[in-house]
Amino acid sequence: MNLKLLDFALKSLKRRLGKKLAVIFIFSFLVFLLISVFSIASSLKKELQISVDALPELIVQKMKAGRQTLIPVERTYKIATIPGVEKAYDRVWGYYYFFNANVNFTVVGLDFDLEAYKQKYNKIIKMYSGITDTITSPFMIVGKGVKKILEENFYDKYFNFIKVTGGKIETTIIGTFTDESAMETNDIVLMPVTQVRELFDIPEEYATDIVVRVPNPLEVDVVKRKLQYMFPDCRIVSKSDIEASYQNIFDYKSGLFLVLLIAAFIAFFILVYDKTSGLSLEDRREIGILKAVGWQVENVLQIKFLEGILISFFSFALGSGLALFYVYTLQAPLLRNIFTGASILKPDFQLLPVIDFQLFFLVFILTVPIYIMATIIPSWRAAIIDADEVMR
Amino acid sequence: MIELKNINKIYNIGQPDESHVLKDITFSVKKNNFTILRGPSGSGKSTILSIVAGLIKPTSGEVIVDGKSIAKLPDKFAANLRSEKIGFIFQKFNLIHDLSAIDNIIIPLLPSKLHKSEIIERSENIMTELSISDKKDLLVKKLSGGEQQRVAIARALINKPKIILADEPTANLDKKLSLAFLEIIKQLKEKGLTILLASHDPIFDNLECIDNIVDIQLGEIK
Repeated sequence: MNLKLLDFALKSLKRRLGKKLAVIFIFSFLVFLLISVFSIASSLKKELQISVDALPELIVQKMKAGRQTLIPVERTYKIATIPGVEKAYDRVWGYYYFFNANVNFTVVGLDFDLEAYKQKYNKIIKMYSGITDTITSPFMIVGKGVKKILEENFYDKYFNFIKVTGGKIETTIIGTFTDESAMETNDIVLMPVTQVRELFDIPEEYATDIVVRVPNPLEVDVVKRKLQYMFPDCRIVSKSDIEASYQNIFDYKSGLFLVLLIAAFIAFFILVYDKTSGLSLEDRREIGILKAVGWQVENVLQIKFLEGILISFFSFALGSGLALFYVYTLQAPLLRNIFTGASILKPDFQLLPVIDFQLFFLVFILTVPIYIMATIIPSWRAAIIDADEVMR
Repeated sequence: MIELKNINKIYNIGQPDESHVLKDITFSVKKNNFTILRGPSGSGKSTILSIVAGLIKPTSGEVIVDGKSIAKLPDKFAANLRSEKIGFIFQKFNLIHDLSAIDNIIIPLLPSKLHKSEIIERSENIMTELSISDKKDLLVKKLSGGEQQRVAIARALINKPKIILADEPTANLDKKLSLAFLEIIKQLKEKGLTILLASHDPIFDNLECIDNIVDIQLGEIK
């Protein structure tokens, strides 16, 4: 590497700073947009995958007039006897609309003396057993998102739930919990199952739905068919059904971004076309001078190559850095709403940091070599013409 | 040192605008000689200099520079010839206006293997000789015409050439600056350089230091 040529390339960039800054702006913006979009997508995919992984193999929902209704608890025992079923749990849960903040909380009932249907709830039960064993008044453990919203509305220590039958339940907040997937746990309120029954007016002999654990993946479809046969008034939802539904929504939202990305790429290729279609008179004259004073074609191409590398690497680094800052520090304002929906019915959640090196490599390959080629080709065209002709 | 034999240059051969700018040009310049190519504008003087520098190739004929035939020399070798043996002073100086004086001067040596400190030292010495050392960090566009020309001369000398080619070097200078340029050229000749200068400026008439004058009109030697 000839450092003198590198120095000359740097000086050359400084000389046409306005023009170069315009190129850096467009280039960085494209990289920023690509990496931001793909990073948000990767982060949400990871969130969804964690959510899907935590799902039971099957969920049994009783239907009435096309809508989900309460399911008799006794069916849990029948389901547990089906060969292939490891365990069946009746769940008591529902959505509670908190009108002050215009959000929905997912209120989940737990029996703090029994094993829960989710491993992570068992951890929480264990963590707070010192308090839950002794407390006699209504209590709850909330996700971080719920805690934040309650605090914003001055409910630091307790919250008054309004029962569906009227009246209120003053519920003490005994703690918070978090999880790797903020999307899944952020809006959760855990409280004793009896309290949830009272809040939503769910009788003892009914539950919201029943989850079914089937350890052998090959058995899932068989169990699903048996359940459908046993309970024709029920909808049996499998993990793969939910996964497909998530994926459909995700793919649809990704399609919206495609339009945005196509526009960005068009801008980039206009820039590339502009560069490849010709050099300015000043550029041509300079190449002529360099050749006239004894530079060879490869020397000219070397500095143009270095210029291309300096601009494209700097723009790539700038765009990538800004994208990571925008997505993971600022939490991708505006763009994230396109993916997640602008709904405020769910408490806010943090995008999980996912650094996908393949993605960076892909964006690099799509932009940097193309730009470098666009810098070199017109310079090469000018450099192979007689210097005398180029200078005229 | 420089020998041209039956040089012809025809532009746009076979086209309606074909022009025969040089016709059977034959002359030679001996080592350490100062030769003037004299003739009106458009007579072909600049084209001869470009051919001697290997910037363009003649349509026919032979050019020998320092013992080497360069008429059909590939571009790469022509560039080597310029960087090793020739210093070219252009009519419009052909400087890069938004670089400093010293950055312009060192350009010919940037692709070389010389260390940058050596290049800087060499350029500072030349600038001192040409009395422009106080201008070294100024942008060329901020220099006067005479100063720009000295920068162009310094750039032509930085690679320690054996031959200096100068194309209408006084065309953009007033009489005082033209005389100052003459002094520089005389000094270069005293140092043993071979000089081929194209000009129609009468200042070069009847100078003692000139060894040879080649008169050209409409592409032919008269």
